[in-house]
Amino acid sequence: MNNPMNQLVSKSIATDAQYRIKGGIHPQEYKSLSNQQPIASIQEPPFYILPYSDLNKGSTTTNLEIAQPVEQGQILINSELANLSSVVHSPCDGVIADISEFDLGHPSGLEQPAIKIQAMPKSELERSAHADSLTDQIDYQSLTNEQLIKSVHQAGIVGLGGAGFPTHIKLSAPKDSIHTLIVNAMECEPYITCDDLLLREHPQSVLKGALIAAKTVSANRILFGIEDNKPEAIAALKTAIENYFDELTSTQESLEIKIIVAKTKYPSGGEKQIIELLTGQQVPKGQLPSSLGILVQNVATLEALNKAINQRQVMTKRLVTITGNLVGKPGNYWIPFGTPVSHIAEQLEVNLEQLACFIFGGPLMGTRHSNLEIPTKKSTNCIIFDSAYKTLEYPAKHQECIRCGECELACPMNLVPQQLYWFAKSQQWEALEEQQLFSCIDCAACSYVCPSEIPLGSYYQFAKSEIKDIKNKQIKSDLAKARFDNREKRLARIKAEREEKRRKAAEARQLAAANKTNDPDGKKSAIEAALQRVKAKKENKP
Amino acid sequence: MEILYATAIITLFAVVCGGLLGFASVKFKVEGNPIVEQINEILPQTQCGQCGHPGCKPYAEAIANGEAINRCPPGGEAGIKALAELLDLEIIELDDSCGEEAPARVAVIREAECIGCTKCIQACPVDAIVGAPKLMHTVITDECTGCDLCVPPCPVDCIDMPILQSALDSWKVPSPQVININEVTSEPPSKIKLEGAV
Repeated sequence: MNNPMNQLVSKSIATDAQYRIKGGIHPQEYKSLSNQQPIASIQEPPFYILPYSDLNKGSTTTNLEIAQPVEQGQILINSELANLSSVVHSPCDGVIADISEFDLGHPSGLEQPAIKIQAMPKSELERSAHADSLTDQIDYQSLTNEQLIKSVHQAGIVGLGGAGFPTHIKLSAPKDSIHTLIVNAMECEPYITCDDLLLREHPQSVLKGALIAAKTVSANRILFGIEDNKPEAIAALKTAIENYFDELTSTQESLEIKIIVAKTKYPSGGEKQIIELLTGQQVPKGQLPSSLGILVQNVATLEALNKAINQRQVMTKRLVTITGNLVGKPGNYWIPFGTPVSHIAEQLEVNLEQLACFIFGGPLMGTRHSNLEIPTKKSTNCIIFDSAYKTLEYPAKHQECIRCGECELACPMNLVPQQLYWFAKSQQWEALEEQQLFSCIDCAACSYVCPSEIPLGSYYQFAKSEIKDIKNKQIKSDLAKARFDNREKRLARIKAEREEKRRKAAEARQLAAANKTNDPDGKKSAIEAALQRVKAKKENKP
Repeated sequence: MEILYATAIITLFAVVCGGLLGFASVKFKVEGNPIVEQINEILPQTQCGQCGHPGCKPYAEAIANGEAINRCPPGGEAGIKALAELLDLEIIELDDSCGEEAPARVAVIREAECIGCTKCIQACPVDAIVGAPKLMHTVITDECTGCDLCVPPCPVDCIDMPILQSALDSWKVPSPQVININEVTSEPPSKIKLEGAV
């Protein structure tokens, strides 16, 4: 065993992060609300609401009909492999109750197309062969990269860290372009603990998922990035790596696995932030981590990847943190996608009387909602029911900016949030782009530290959406201008050609008229033409 | 004698400069009025003719010659604002006689009813309709500017003008400022963090 990894595993596999990120905040933590209880499940809801696509573009539906029976794991919405969308599976046995527009929690409050499925549990005997095939065990080592990517796509896996980016697209990096897989277990939002609990209870599953991802992109280095407020998870992961050490060395030629523990700070779980913390490298503006040869995956995504490849389970549920001071039974639960929030609230004894609104995600980057009928999505990692959050907009009223510069210190992206605020307020779009508005990662650390309680993040979201709209309009107008100019040119050309034709015809007429004066009856020319024809005929007949 | 040298030198200098300027005026000649191009860039290029000109470029020329900047409904308020900024004019309200600012529309031909007369193809300012005589026509949605010009020539009235984007696609994040103004009953900030320091 002269493998270099040998030493890494047997000595210290967990090291402290050598690098720092700029800015950041230390919000008060509420993780202990939900990380004291083991992972559990809730009773299945009576119905599910599944959006057509989490990313809402590029999906194609299968031919679904109302009242059509569906089975658990059946593909409801298929998508092309190259599309930026994911396959959606049925989370239960049941029938399609409705296909129409539902409130899915879009910030506009507008309804979006979705499928409603009425759950109708079947007995095991009634299950078809389709369901049985899911329990087949396979060895991922025997699969090619293309097969792995196809399986990931068919399992409907998307990034579970929050953004919901389809994983098969991330894994389809060009050959040899990725050398490092970073496993994101930072989980820096103050309430969320689902990644923590997943690592505590299923570290080997996450590890196996990481190995599959590393194999798919041919990475030979796996770095686990985790904050120091999760000692149990770090210990569990360490044990798992040590226990699986032999297996790891037997299957991979060269592999370096390391756990890097960072000081707790928000937003160290941001993709650009974790890369800088673990490697000291900054992702260039406008580029992806792959430009540095790095792939970042969330722990929950890797766990789903392991289930999809090693146990052939499609992704129909995820671990969700249900927390907040209004929850009777806070904790982490396996919740199928499309479960209405009202069902979760009922099952976990949420005090609805004191509830003003609930949050999907963390309090800093999450979205606030008031309609309990909206369903959970693939990207929903946490639901907070807490009496501290009283309004949908944060905050309802704010004071004016006093140029204190706190936001500048907090910004992890080296931006000048107060300048961005003034420009967004006065709608100076060009100045905003010069100030690198689009480098903003929406972490809302600036809003958190602002003594005037200005919802800075909301101002940036507003400005980003306006600028995108203006750009789209500009593209459209440029296209129309080009087509209009081309048409004008074509019409001018046709007109010129017509003029030319007319001129030639007029000339011919004039010539004919001139001939007519020499030969008043036209007999001379007629005789000449006839002679010409006879001559031509003779020449053609040898 | 010196005065002759001086005169000769000055004359020679004048001739050389004149030659250079003459060359530059030919070599770097600007086609048309550059301000017209800048105005045209701002106009939305729908070529709809609601301003009373046969296209955006002619209206841009008219604006350069002093016509009002508020005659373009598709450009709307934002367009007027941009034009006012460019030309250093005052922002004025949209001229009602030209039309109202409306959401972007797109032409859709009810294909079963189309008789293939090609009249709409000739009317389309951006060549966004494909078809041939006595064969069905259709609109290339991505290239249609929603100008309405194909509707009047159609002898069988088979062209609809639905709104291009659904409410969801065209939704934009509202300004927090607007939210603040509307929030009449809001409480004062829950906590002023610097209060203690002050």
